[in-house]
Amino acid sequence: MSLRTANARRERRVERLNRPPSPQLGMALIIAAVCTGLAAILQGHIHNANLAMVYLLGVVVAAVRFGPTAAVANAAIAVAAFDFFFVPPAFNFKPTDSEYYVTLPVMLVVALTVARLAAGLRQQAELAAFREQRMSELNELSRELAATADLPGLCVVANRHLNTGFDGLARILLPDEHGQWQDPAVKPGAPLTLADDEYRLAQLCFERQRATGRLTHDGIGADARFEPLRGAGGTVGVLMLRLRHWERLQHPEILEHLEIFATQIALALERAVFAMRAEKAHVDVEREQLRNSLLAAISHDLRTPLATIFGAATGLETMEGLNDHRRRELAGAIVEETRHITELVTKVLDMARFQSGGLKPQREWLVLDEVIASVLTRLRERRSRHCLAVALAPELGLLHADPMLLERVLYNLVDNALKYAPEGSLIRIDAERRADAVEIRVTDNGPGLPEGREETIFEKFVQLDPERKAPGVGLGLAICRVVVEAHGGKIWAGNSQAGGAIFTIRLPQAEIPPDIADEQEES
Amino acid sequence: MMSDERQALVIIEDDASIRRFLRNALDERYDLYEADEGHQGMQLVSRVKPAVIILDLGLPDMDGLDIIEQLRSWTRTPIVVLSARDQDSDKIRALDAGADDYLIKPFSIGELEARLRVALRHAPSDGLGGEKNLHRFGDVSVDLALRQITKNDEPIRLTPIEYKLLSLLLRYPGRVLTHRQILKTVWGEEFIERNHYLRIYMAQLRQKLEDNPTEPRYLLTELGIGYRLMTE
Repeated sequence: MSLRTANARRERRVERLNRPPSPQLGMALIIAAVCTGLAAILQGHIHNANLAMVYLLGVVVAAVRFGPTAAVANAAIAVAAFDFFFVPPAFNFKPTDSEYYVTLPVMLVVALTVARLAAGLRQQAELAAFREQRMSELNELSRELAATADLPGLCVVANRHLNTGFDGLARILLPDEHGQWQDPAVKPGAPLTLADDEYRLAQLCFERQRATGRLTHDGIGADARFEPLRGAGGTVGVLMLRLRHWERLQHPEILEHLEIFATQIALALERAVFAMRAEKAHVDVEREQLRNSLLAAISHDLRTPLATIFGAATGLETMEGLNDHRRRELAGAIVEETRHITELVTKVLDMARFQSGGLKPQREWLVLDEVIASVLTRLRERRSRHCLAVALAPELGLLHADPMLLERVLYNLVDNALKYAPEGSLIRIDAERRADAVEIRVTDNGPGLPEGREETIFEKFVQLDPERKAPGVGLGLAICRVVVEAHGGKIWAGNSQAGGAIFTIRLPQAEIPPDIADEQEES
Repeated sequence: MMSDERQALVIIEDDASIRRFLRNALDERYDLYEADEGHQGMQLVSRVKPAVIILDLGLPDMDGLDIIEQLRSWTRTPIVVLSARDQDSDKIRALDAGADDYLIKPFSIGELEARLRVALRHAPSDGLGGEKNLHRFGDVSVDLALRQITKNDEPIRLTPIEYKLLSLLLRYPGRVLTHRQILKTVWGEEFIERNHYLRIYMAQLRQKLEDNPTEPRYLLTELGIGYRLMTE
């Protein structure tokens, strides 16, 4: 069944429930006239008293087709008409036969009773159909609300159901943390167009937890109605409603239905708000943990190099007669430790920046060789005791990634390899193109990763061996993961068959590299 | 270097400890003039007419970029910019605005001296007509007048664009040129956004001129900023 026919049917039901009395009186008159005509034809063929039955039939028709008002009116008119037209003397209300003084009142009582019973039956049936319709609307609403998780989505669903179910324009208003009204269904930050009066009524509705506006005692002149959205834990917000036919809301069934709608919506919104708060609390806790771990890491990892620097510097400052060798040794210690602190600060700042702002890579078409060359240049002094081999597939071509961020990832990976692989060992960087991605690997032949640690090493502040004399805070790999994932890629670790660690970065390459016009060499 | 006469050097830097470090590192070879604010620094430059300016990008009273632009409106004195690591875009804008080079804090005395040497080589006192035609780096020699390039005495063939690129870099040896500056000069204004052209041609040049293109010694990448040709 299409939505339109369903709507039309509901329209009819609503109309019947609310039909004003004047057309019903008209119908009562018409039915009585028809009955009179019928009785006039039958007169002479059947007994006069049985003509009353024709009128009673009319009452039943009026009751079933047009409701209680028409039925009662028809009953009265029928008795009067029967008396006037068919009880002798005709065209006179006063019967000659005294028998009719019993017949007519009994007929009236019977007609009224039939009218009431038949009309009641009809109304029952109508109410049942109406309720069934409302129930199915409610079910539909609950189903859709349950399938939606986000606040704006919930509001859109609720508005749609309210708009069709009540034939009007609904809007959901929720207070934000500053107590300002927000409509989550419109895009955030868009100004909320509420008249002063509407604002006051919404506020009143929210505070008093009762309906305000149209059809309430404080809604004189208002063209909107405000229903409180009461959840399990209090009022969540306000439902603002503008209807095309306000009179419908005067029907208690419809009003009740609106309230049930409001409760359903309120519960769904409450659920979403709780979920959001839980999420925020989770983020807060994580941020707090990050801060604590940072403090712990910094206080440990800064203190040690600072102690060295301070000691060496005071040595240079105060010790007299230092020979050249000693002097160079102390200065070298300062340089070395300063480098560690610089690294540490860079990593901590990177991590803080990536976490707070979310990371948006500035992708460019780049040549991987350049990125690797930059990494090798930065590590020049550190890598002299290892052997570094770079093997990039010749068909690698252009790579779509953020050059600076990719450099940081590769720097951290090579830096790690230098830290953990023994001196003199081989560190390999290679890259090849897959169907829709580029894979870059950094392989060493050091001790490899302990079994089962392949995943945890990418967490913040996790170090393979905290006791080891490898400087660092355990942020390098966490930064790698954040950056690679911001590129939509993956990073994972494992051990090679020879025993060393392999780190693999997979960067999806959805875009097609741009063409470059070919050129002939000069002769 | 060029003469025994000590050259003047203006340092515009608000951090006193960095100024002290620079003073200790440099005052045996240069006449140093220091300013801790932009306005004061620019007055100092116009008064002492230094050979090089060292400018910190994060000054309290003025944006470093404005200082560069104002200085460039009347002087070509080389400017070496000091900046923090996380200010990549500032560095690029400073270079595009006319700064000659940059140093990331913390930097070593060795790096500082190398940058100053390069900057002084480009000082306007070199004269405009005196551009060299013959260049050498590693095993490569380039004769710009004859358009001849050899590596280990073997002739090397370049495409017209590769040649244009190389001669631009040779005109400013040791100095960093931004992507934008190179693209504009070699390809033209409409190619300014197409960094990948430059990347591909640089890779080709390295293939032809470097011994180990993945670890270049002369055609260096300043990742995210530009390129520099080291000839020493």
